[in-house]
Amino acid sequence: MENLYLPDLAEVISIRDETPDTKTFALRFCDPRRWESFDYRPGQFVEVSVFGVGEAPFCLASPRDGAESFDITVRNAGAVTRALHALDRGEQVGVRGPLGNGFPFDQVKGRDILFVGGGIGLPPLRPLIWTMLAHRHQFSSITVLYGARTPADLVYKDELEAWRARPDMEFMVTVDVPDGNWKDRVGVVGSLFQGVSIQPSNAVAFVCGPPIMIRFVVKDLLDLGLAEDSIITTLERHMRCGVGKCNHCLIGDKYVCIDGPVFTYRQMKTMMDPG
Amino acid sequence: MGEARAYMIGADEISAWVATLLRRAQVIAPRTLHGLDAAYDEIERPDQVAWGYRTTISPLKRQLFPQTDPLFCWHQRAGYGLDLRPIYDQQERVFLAIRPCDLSAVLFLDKVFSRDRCDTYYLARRQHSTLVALACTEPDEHCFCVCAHAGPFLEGGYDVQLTPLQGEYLVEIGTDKGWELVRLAEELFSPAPAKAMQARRELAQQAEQRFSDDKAYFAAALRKVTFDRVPDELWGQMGDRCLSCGACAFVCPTCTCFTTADFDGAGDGVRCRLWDSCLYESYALEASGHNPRAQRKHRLKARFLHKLGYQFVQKLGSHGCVGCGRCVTACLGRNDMTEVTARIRRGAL
Amino acid sequence: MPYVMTTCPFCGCGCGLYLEVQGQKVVGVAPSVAHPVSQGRLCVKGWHAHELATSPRRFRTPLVRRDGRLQEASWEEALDLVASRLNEIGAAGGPSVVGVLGSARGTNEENYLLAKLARCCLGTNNVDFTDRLEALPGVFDLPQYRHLTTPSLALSDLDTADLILIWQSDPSQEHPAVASRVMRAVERGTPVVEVAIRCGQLRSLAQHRLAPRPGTDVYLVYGLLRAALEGRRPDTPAAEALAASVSDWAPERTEAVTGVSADLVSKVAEMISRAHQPVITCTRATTVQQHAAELLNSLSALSCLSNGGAQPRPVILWLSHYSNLQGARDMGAVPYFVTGCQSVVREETRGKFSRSWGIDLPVEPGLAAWDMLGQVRGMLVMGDDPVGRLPDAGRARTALEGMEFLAVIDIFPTATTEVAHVVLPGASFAEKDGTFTSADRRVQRVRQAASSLGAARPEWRILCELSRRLGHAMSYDSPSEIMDEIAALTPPYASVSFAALDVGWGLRLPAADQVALPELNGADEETQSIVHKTLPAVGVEFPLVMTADCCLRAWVDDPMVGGTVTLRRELGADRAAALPIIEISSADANESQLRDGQRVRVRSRTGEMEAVAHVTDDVSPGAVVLPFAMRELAAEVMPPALHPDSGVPILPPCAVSVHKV
Repeated sequence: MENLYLPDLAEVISIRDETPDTKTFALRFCDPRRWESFDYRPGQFVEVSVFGVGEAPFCLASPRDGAESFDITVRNAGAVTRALHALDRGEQVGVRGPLGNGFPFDQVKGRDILFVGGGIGLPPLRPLIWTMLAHRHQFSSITVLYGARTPADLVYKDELEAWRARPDMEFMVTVDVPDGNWKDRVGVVGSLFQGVSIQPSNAVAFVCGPPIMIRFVVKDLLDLGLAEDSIITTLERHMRCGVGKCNHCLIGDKYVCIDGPVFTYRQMKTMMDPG
Repeated sequence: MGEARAYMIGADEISAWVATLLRRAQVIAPRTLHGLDAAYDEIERPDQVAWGYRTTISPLKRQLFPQTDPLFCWHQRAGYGLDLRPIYDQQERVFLAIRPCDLSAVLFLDKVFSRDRCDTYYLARRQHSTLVALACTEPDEHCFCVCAHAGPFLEGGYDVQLTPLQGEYLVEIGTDKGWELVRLAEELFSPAPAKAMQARRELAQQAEQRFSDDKAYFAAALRKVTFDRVPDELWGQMGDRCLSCGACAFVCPTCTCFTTADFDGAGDGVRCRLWDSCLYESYALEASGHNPRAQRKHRLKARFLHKLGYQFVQKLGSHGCVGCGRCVTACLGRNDMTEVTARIRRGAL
Repeated sequence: MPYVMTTCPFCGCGCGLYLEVQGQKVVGVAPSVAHPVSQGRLCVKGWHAHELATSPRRFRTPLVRRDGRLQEASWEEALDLVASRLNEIGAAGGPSVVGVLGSARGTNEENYLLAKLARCCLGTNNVDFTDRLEALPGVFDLPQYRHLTTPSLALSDLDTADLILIWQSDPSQEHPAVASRVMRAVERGTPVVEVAIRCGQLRSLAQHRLAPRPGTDVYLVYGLLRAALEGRRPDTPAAEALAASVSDWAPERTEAVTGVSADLVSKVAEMISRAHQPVITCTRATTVQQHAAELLNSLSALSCLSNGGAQPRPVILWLSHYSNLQGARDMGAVPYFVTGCQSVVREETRGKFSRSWGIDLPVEPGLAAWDMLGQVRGMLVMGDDPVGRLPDAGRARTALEGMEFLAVIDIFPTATTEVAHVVLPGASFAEKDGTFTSADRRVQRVRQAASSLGAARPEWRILCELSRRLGHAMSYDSPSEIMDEIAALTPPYASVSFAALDVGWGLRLPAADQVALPELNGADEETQSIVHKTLPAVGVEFPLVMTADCCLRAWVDDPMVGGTVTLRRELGADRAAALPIIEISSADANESQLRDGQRVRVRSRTGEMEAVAHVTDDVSPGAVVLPFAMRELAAEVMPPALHPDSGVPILPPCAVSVHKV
């Protein structure tokens, strides 16, 4: 029987600096059989261990799709993330997963897809964006709106340019506080809605970012006419075991690690939680 | 497998039976500690069993789900990287003279730890455990198992249930595992006559009458909690009476919240799980600093939804309380199960 | 899986708990139900006390500073170094330049041995512990005041009280076992009155809340005394003197000075005089005030006016913060006492100790802990952390950094171990035998449940080995033997022995002699004018008074709390903040248009700082509260000082203004 809490060893294949406090780590399981059988859907997450320090959850930030490794994008904010940031290529970490429920995919075929990401909220959306682009014809339209506090805080800077260049999708980016070189839009990510042309009745929005951003964006989307179960987000919560046993992520009777982290706005409303 | 399902053993002979159990497995039984404190603890000799105990300072869950539970260890091997090894406890154990409430709690934990995905750590211990209940003829001051349908006598779920009669014990066998224990010293047991079963039924009825006024109004509380009909103000007032000590989670036989922590270091170390409490201010604190349960009233509300809400009863077969009464003793504030359900029913303090 | 009965090592309540041992490791805790203090209950700290025994942050080997860094060393090397350096410094400068600091968290046996080592091996009375500050040293050791911080009451008196007056403390943070009893008392119908600039969680349970302006507590008590004496004829000279000393403090004048309404003063005074069995609780927040002696004396007098004036003894329950403050004092970790408050200069004491210890006690009284810093050149510190405890943390740190030699015995890193030349790893409460004396004088066993972590050793062994190297060997087979020696020398501890402590739930020491109606200075003109001068001068420019509160975030910088996994997350260092956090009432916040969580600037006559404002009505209008743990960040705004009379370090409240940034 599977040991729920025992990680498998994974190697750090590469490290890329995204922002002053954020790095993307490409990881791969050390055991080739484990790597081969490892499959996951966008929206799922893994629990990553730095042995001796602890374990923390990170969303899978790249599509599986035959890749040589999988990405996690990590902001330096606590003991485990600090320890991760101190790692070198070739060092070992522990990984458990995939965990959680993943974004809907087949269910939204034919729809107008709208991605709205804020700051460190882009990583969970990234694998879904790329996967949908790989099956572009199955979706009516794809629009990505991304915002961060400053230009330096934008993640995946090279890919943003790639998205901007693609004719089969719409991409807009904005920052709250520009620097001297910024030539693009300024303002919160919600301000980008004006430039978006989608049919609200056919639209589905995937929203990720800080809680306050989500609150405002959801309101804007509802005002635009999107249905409550067409607004989809990932909930962040203090997660420990990731497998629905430790109860830390319990909201009402839903486990964010099992019933989520992906929820529709309609579901979120019914989850009894005042916080 | 014998014909009869119920046997008798004399109070003098039971020590001999315990002696045979000790030769076969680790025996955990109630023992007296200091003063009137009793605890489930390993015994080395039959005379250490405190047959006349009322309740223990800590529930049986401590034996199957320890307060500090090592999960796996790692070693740094030069040139090879890390080596990870799970740590399983597969010691054969007999849990002797367990209170029906605690045994009912184990059956509840069985569901918690095997629902959806199996917790192999709990299962390893559980599979190597045999449960021998000691029916309660004399409930303790704070007990209310009758309200939770978890005692004072069990109608099933045990491997063996002992009932003290005059100078002897009725021995009911519930499972093959239980039968194996009795077979170890078959010669000490004789089939139980009908009058013994009759005496047992009478004792059970009498015991049910002996409960004090500490009652838990589960039905009313369950309804209101399930449908979020408890006034927010009441949660607030109860929150003012919570000192966030964590005791309710720790002494409760059915609570299982935990966290994990790494010990020793990067080269060589062990990850353990540790008991945790949803009433701690930092329980839901996120790495970003956001705390969705910063207020005590919200934490209390979440706890009692988990304990009583029908959403959970559906998944687990019963609500999360066996009426052992330990929270009544252990709550540093004023929010034990009896108090809270009474207030919820009243709609006020 | 044995359960070992022991005593909680955190606060002064002295709850009984069992440590669960599995495979020779301490893995859990269960409360003792039969124990008279815990009664089956523990606070969050007690529930995680076992984590001290396995914490990854523990010192596991001796450390010696080489090339500017603390590096692992052997016991031989470390002990030899400590002994030789202390000997050298003592030889060169005499016994006055070396000193030792004990701990309000150390066991009685350890503190006793440390004090003995100082006197026998180093020939000095420079023996103290920083937490003695909590009990107004120099004053509360005097015979006539001793009873004030050695309560005759017990925690259980709260169970039968018909009025509870909580004076400037937050039991939910400092002494949860007390908060627990207060909640139960409220349910029984017992009225609770809180006197607090900052109320804690019990605010909603209190019938009345009095919020005297910071620094005016003593005037409030004068006002209550006068109101309680109203209409009563004094029947003894002492009562007459008392009435005379507070005659100026009519309710109106009390209101003008303290801000507490005349009505409330009269009402509460009446409640006190009507009550048969009131209990007044107070803690270090009372004793670190500038007029602590007068305040506690007055409270004591006030309590005697209950029961219609016929209360035979003061009903004050002064609760020490740490698990063994009472014991550390009793064991002679004090510059002018040996055990049991016996003076080092008294002939009888000198004779008795010289017969037992084999040396003549040094006759020159020693320096207090805060005076040692900056005056001694070599120190041995056991479990103490002056930087973490003293009001002037900066000065303490500088003094320790400049010390020629500093050796520290401790279990977790502290600001003091950080600057030590040698660190010797000690044992947590789970790894040694000994005793604690609780706040209400219960001597209880601390029992060893596991062997020391790594190469750490119990303190009593370390001290014996040091003593050998320092020329006057102390040798014992066990801490039990140490206690037997203590009992033979210390009248209050005469019947204490490990065997006696194994029966039942410890032993309560006899109460100190009571002084029913002490003389107060209330009428003294000079005292009044001095007191007036020391009040923070509020005005238009600086309209609010900032105080440092020991109860707010009380455990955030505590090394023992920080050393665990769970407590660190819940109460300790994980909750530390980069900017100071100040609490301010909603009335005052609205006045300055401040929002909860907003960055603010706090200004005083001496400086300014940036802080984060937490708006709450736990704080009374007119006051701004800073957690004591954050005082270093606020040092420019609220500078530490020395008490004008006693020279003891204090952190006086100051007038401030708060603006949004």
